[in-house]
Amino acid sequence: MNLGSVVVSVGKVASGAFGWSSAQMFPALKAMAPATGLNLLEFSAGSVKVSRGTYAKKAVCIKPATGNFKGDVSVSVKGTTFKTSPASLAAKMGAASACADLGTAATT
Amino acid sequence: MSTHMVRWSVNNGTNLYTALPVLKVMVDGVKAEVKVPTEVTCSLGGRSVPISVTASAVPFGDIKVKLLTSSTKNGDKTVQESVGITPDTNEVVLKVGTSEGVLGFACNTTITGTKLKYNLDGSDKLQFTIPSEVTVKGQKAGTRPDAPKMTLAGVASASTPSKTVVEGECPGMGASWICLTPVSWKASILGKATDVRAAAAKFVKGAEGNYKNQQWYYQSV
Repeated sequence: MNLGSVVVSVGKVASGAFGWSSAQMFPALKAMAPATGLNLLEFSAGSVKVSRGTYAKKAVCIKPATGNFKGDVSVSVKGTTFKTSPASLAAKMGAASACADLGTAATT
Repeated sequence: MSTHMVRWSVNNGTNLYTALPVLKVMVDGVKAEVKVPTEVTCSLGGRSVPISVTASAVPFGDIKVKLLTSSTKNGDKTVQESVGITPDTNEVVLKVGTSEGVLGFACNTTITGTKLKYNLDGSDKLQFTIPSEVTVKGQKAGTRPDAPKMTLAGVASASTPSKTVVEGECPGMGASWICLTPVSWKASILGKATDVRAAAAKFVKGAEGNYKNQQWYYQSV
């Protein structure tokens, strides 16, 4: 990441809110609440490990920040460097979480 | 090891949930393992026991495993190590949705060779390890029993309302298929090994809605 750049994540993970920045050029970012009517969606773990050329079993899990899912939710990874199996993580209303294998090519 | 910030899309449920944060993914070069036996018995004048091929991880693309004859160089001389042993020409392709396969080979009535080689190919071959060779042991075929006793029974102590555990015993080396079907379905008994293989091949382990189908289990013996 270049000096002076900032990446902000809208959302939250189990260990707290995550953003990545080179903070020297920025004041502290204040905590923000989700828009009215929206609930926080998060990963079960903030980071995962994958070995090249393989899928890591059940590496990615999504869950609501509190309680179970209030409606059907599906998410998918952007780009082509990483893939999930199945292609999207889908949770039905009432489910606690949804998981998928995460993989990347041997050349990553 | 390299670190990647992976972005995600919420495709369904955007009216209820926020977007996801980026996910930190650490990619390493730890190699997975192709699991194959390093010693296999074959019946002289017949076939090897089925060689089950699995892997410790699912390949991102695919890996392909097949058996080849083995030879070594001793100076200018080539020493054949698979005399009397003929590997099958098929290859096992492991990929998403295919987690196992079977290899095999034929043995002459007399074999002087003792080895075959495993050949690993496919888009992810460099990320997997496999034993380089398999040692072949010939065994004189026994007398084929006319009516071999085969036992198969439920194990009540290990079964639950949602899971039935059964154990069986085979009369000798080879392959074992077990099929479970509710009595009310009145499934016909398959009398030929080829029919059993075909029926078992249609069963995809772990597929959605499998509870509606006959349950098949395969194990080399």
